[in-house]
Amino acid sequence: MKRPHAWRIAVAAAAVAAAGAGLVVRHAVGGPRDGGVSAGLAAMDRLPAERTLPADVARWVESSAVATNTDAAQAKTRVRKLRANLGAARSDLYAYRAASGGTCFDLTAQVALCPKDAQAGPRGIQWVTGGGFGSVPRNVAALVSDEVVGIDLVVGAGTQRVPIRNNTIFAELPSSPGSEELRLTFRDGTAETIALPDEH
Amino acid sequence: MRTLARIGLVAAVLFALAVGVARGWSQMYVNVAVFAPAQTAASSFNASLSENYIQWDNRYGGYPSVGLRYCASNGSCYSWVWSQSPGVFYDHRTISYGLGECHAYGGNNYNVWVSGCRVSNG
Repeated sequence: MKRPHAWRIAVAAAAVAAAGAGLVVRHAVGGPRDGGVSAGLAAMDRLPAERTLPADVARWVESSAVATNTDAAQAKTRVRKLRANLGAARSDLYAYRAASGGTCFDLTAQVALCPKDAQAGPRGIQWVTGGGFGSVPRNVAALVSDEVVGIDLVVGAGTQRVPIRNNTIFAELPSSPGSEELRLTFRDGTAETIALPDEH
Repeated sequence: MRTLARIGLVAAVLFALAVGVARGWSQMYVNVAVFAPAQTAASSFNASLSENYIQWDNRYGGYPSVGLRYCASNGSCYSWVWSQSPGVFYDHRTISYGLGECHAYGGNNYNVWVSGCRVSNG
């Protein structure tokens, strides 16, 4: 009677150990359990740091560095300008790496984000929406990791390919109500869909 | 004429003082809270608001979204701006006079842990 019981315990223990090992391996190789932009942002290494910053960007770097426990003086020397003259507001997009490994970015005069780390949020992307004031239409801007090879913006029945430049996307959104989605295609052939909130 | 000039001078001084007081104002209008889906918090009204932020995380699971906006005293509001990445999310739009709001998206499937929402005109 005792021998089958001990055998079952041994099998169960082996199964638990195997499952645990599988989880460890998937994390180690950057598998699909890793979210956000943990697959990397090559543009942050490729582009040179900005020598001077606009006053509002410098102020934001200082305040956001405090919020992310990052040395503000060092952060200001690491800022990259990833995009320029975006949309009706002609915003620029600046970014720097925080101490957590997350990348803070600022769509000037609109919105900014400091993710808690590189893994924060859905796989492949850290997005924000902006605009929606005065004559500036709503828009979506995002950091996109190196493993993303394509992004489509789907609004209602229409689909628009959004170019990925310097690991970022930007697109203005229509004023008409309707569902809005980002469809991400990854280098490994998989795809993910992110529905943007429908409260405007 | 002299009385009018004095009244004008006093008014100018009072205006300058009022502006001086209003500038550099900030308010932490949420300090640690759990936001259920569709929950909103609002700040007091003030002039020249230029930053509104929410610091939050998704410790209750899933990928919830949070929003920020300003509303004017006549009840009209800017569009929400949204983020789905836990951390600090900033609204850098400006409003001449109004209040700031932070919000958990009504379509969230999980509560959101909010460590703070703050608005300022600095």
